[in-house]
Formats: sequence, C-alpha cells, structure tokens
Amino acid sequence: MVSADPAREALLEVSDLKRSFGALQAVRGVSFTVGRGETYGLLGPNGAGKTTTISMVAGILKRDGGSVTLGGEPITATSVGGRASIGLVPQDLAVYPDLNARENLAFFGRLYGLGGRDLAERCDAVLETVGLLDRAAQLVREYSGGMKRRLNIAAGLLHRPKLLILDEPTVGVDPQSRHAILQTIERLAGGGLAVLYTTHYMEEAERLCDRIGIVDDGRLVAEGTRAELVRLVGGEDDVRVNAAGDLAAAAERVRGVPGVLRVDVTDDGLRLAANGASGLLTRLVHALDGPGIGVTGIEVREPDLEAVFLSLTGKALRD
Amino acid sequence: MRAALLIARKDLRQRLRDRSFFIFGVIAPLALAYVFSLLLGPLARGVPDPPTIGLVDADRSAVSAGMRSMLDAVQAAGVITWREVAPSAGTPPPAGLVGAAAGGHAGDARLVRVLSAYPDPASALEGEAYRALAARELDAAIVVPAGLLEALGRQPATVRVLGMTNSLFGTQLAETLAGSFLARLRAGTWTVAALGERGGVVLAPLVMAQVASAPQPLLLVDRPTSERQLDLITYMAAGMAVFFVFFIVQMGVAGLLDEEKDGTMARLMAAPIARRSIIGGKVLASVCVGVLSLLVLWGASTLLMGARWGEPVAVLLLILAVVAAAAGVLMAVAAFARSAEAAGNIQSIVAITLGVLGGTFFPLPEAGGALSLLMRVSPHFWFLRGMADAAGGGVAAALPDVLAILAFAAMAGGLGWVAFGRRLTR
Repeated sequence: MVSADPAREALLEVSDLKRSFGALQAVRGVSFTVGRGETYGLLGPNGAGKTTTISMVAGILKRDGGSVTLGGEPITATSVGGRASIGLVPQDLAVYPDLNARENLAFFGRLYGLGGRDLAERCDAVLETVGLLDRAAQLVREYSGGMKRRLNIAAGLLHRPKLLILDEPTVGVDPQSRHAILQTIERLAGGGLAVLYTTHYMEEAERLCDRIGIVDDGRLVAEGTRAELVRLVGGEDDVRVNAAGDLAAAAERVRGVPGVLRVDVTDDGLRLAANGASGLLTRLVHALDGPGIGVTGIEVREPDLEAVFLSLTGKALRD
Repeated sequence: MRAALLIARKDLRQRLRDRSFFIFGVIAPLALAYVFSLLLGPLARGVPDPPTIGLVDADRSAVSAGMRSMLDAVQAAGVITWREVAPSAGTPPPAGLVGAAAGGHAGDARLVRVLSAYPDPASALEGEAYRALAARELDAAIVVPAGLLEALGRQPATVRVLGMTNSLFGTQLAETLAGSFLARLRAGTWTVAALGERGGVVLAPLVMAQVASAPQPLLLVDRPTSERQLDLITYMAAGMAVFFVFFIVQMGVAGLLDEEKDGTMARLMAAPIARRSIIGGKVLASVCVGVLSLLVLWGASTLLMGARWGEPVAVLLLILAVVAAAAGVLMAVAAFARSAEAAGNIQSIVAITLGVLGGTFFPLPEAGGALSLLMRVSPHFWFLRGMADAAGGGVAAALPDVLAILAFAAMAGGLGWVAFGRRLTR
C-alpha cells in the first residue's frame, strides 16, 4: 500500500475503521488520511463500503472499531463538537422540497449555530458558488435534478467546514449538471478546502482527486496518486495492431523495436505490451511496413484506474 | 432545546407550505364537526318542547278533578303542558280528520282511542278540541265524559283520547295518562265493590274522589345531563376529536421516518446537535398540530353543534395530556417499524383499536372483566371519562383521568424515546 502524502499536514485521520451489519462485514479495517487542502477519493463499485465508511467519518454511524479524528478532535456518533467542522453532502438529496433554497440553507445553517447577517451572507455566498443565487426563492420541488444536487452541495458548504464529504454527488444527473458540479468541487478544492469524495466513476476520481483510495469488499486495497496506482500494476501500455498476412514474421520484426516488452499473435493481428507506446508509433509502423503484411489499424491503450481496479480485485469497477 | 425548536419550526413551516397543517389541523376537524352537526343536529337543538295535552272535562266532578291533579303533577315534572279546552260556539268539524273510533274496555271504565276521527257533534267541547288539534294548538286531548262518577259501577264509562296521526308521541303520552287515570278509577271501583260486599256503608263518590286525587307515588324528575354524564352531542364530538387527533399526530411522528426515507436525516444527524433534539423537534411539531386541531374541534363543535365540553381548564389539561399520549404511542410504534409505510399502517391499526376500546364510536358498557381492563388501556377512555368527570366536578374531578393519560403518555413515550434514540445512534 502506498503511504499518505507526506507533503500535507493531515487534517482527517481514519484508522482501522470496522463496521458490520449482522453477518455482513461492510467495512473491514479501513485507514487513510486526508491532508489540508487535499482532495481524497474513495473509488469503488456500489456496495464496496464507501458510504458506510464516510458515514462513520461524519459521525452518523457508530463504528465497531477504529478511530476518526479531525484536526486532532475525535469524531463519534455521540460527540457533537467535531461534527461542526464537517460538511456532509449525502448521496440522497438531503434538502426539503417544500422549502425554497434559501429556507433550506437557513434551516441547516441555524443547526450549525449561524444566525443573523452572517447566515444571510453565507446563504448568498454558497448559492453563488453553486450558481443558484437567482433561483434562491424558488421551491426546491420545482428544481431540476442537477439544481437539487447543487443545492445539496451548498448545504454542506454553508457553515465553512474544514472537511467537505461528498458521497457520489453526480449520481443520476445529466452531463451538463455533472460538469458544473465537478467544476464547483474543483474550485472549492482550489480554495484550500479538504475534500473526501466517493465515487464509482473512474473519470471523476482521476479528474478531481489528489490521491485515491481503492475500496473493494469493505477493504482499502490500494491508495495513492493516479500515477502511483498505475505503477502498482506495472504501468505498461497495451497496443493492439489489426493486421493480416504473415503475422509470425511481423511479430518477429516488432520484437526488435526498443521499448516493446512482449508481443503476442492474435486472431486479428498482434497485441503488444510496451513502455511509452505513444512515442513508439513511428518505429512500429516502420517495422510493420514490408511485404506479406497488411496493417489496417493501431490502437494504444494507456493503463487507467479501471485497469488498476481490475488488476487489484479481479473485477471491473462497474460490477 | 434550541435545535428541537428549530426542527419543530421547520416542520410547522413545511406543514403550512404543503397545506397539511390546514387540512389536518383545521379543515378536517371542521369538516368532521360539520358532519357531526348534520348527523346529530336534531339532538343538538335540544329536547323538543313537551307535548300540549288538552283536557275536555265534561264531568267537572271530584273525580275529574283527580285528572287535573295528575296533569298538574306531570306538567310540573316538565313532561307535558296541559290546558283545559274551553267551549267555542259554532266550531265546525275540521277538514281532513277522517277515520273511526277504536276503543278498548277495561273493567267498568273504557279508554277509547280516537285518531283522526270525526267529532261527536253533540259535544261542543270535543269539537273545540278537534279544532285545536287541527290547528296544532294541541298534540292530543283527553275527553272525560259527563256523569263519569255516576256511571262508575253501573255501566262502562268511557274516557276518550283524541290525537293526530302526525303527533303520535303526544297521543301516546295522553293515552298513557288516561290509562293511568282509569287504572286508579278501577282500583276505586273495586274498593267500593269490596266494601259493599262486606255490608259496609260505602260512600262511593267520596272513595272515588280520594282515589282519583291521590298524589303520584312516583315521579320522574329530569335533571340536567351535565350533572351526571356527557350529553350525546358532546360525547360524540369529543370522542371523534380524540380519535381523529391520533391520525393528525401520526403524520408528525411519521416525519421522523420520512426524514430517513428522504435522506435528510443524514444531514440532521451530521449536524452538531444532540440526536434527541431531532426526536424532540418532531414530537413538538406533532403536539402543536394535535393541540390546535383539538382546539379547533372544541370551538367548532361548541358553536355549530351546541356541544358542552365543560370546564375549560379541565378540557385544556385533558387535551394536552391526550395529545402527549398520542405522540408517545405513535412514536413507540414508529421506533420499531422498518419503514415509514409500515409505521403508518401499524399506527393506524393502533389508533383505531385504541379508539374503539376507548369508546369513541359508542360507549362500551362497564361490564367488568377483560373488556373493562382493556378499555383502561386506551387513553381515549380516560379522555372521555375525564370529560364526563369534568362536567360533573370540574378540574379536580378530571385530574385523576389527566394523570392516567399522562402515565400512559410517559410509558409509551418513554419507550418510543429510548427506542428511537437507539435507532438514531446505530
């Protein structure tokens, strides 16, 4: 397992979290840290234990074992103080449809001790952040799904938390709203807010997260930056050559190209493992250019988190 | 406490916004009161005026004076009013009075019941009685024939009751009174006959006059219902109000499960507030709506139906107590339900069962045994009993009932409080 980012001071420290529901062990000793200003992603398929983990981190759910501290202060299901420093954006739309956006925010803000002018200013600020200021007086039930999601995020930001926890905030939204949400999170992270982000979308984890923890079956199976995780599984590019003719001869010629690690003959051509395949394309084309071989296409696949997940767990991320 | 107030205020605002507050807190109770007033309106308007009985006294003897005494006594009890039919010259037989006489012989005195019959043209008094009947000035008339005293013991004497088919109650009452009078006369004639058989000197007129004028041995005295129990209108209004309030409170308590279902509970639980304040806020909002609903129904049933809920302080105490009990019971049920839907179903069953056991639809007899015990498990029972006690004895009389309801609220509410608390700290 890759260690925590030593360049950042740890804000959130999660150690050996465990939780069972009857016979089901939902979380089996998960540990990670999130530094100040860092965006940390928990990546895993549905049912991997991500939501249970962050529910314990947020103090919603009791844990069977382990500890959570935020800025050194313990967070538990019964403690009150530490929870004030956490902003939670649940996966469900945790807003009231019969209230308008400002009323929703005012209610949640008051629960966090905000009031008066400060509350009004914070409401305006977070509505501005998520692009809903001009719709503040509209009942939430009249919002689109994407707008509700953005308001859901705004409610988590209202009280100036040190850590923002987002549980799959883009589930079920259209691409445009999804883009807007990701942009908002990028801006927040850029502003120095620590973010703990769960998703089963590889692209979101790659785009947003400084470090990623891969979760499967209640365990954190690996963590690190994207590059570190890719290196964990070898970091080889996968090159597919669609060709016909004397494929054995073609394979022999390609093996001589520096950087090519392995070559296999397949039904429709060749499959190569190579380091830095994009830089080898010219040489590969030159090696394949000869009598008896007809090349119809070359495809280079760089390793991604999907491949990492597949390599580490033996199953696809969306299983 | 502050968080609980915030949550209660938010809930009430939502109720106002989605109109459920008005529907369940105001409109439904008013509609219910209106339905009650339609169903029970005739009773609400009070006991009808006592029927007016006319006396046609053609005898004017000491015996017929006994009839007057009897009518006076019954009138004093508020059962009838009576007046003597005075002669009116040239009274024609009223149109629309048809039919024939019917009668029955009883010893030597006869009661003839004549409904809608032509009058005896020989009797001007009787003609006047018919006119008064047709003009609805009388509901029935009793005709005491001339020479009744002399006729007794020698030939059948006939006392006639005249009535209208549209005033059967008054006619039947007049029949009963005439029958009672004739029974006395029969007793008198038997006495005279018995004395005569033994060879005594019998002053028959004197005996008969004494018998006829003897005071009533038993007298029905009507007392105000407020001195012994709730009148029907108040009972039904209070019963349905307390039955209905359980469903109103149910909505608020079920809000705890709705927050879980809708996902907002996660945000509430993540907030830096005590978990108990979430429960407290929900219960507080439910209690507010429940109390308001009962107050509306109290006022509406009083104004629209003439219900008499009694001593206001006692009623307020009973209302607060029973709403607390409703919140407690329904919270205990909700705490163990797996979902909002399941909770709603079970809560409805519990509310209906407790309502029936408590006698909200109809008073259950105090038969003792298991039923009597079960009735006391229902806060509805104590509420209605408290209302009755308050009607008779004010606040002090209702306090034991209030305490019984509060004990129920404390037990059920305590169970719900603990169970829901555990549910929120899983």
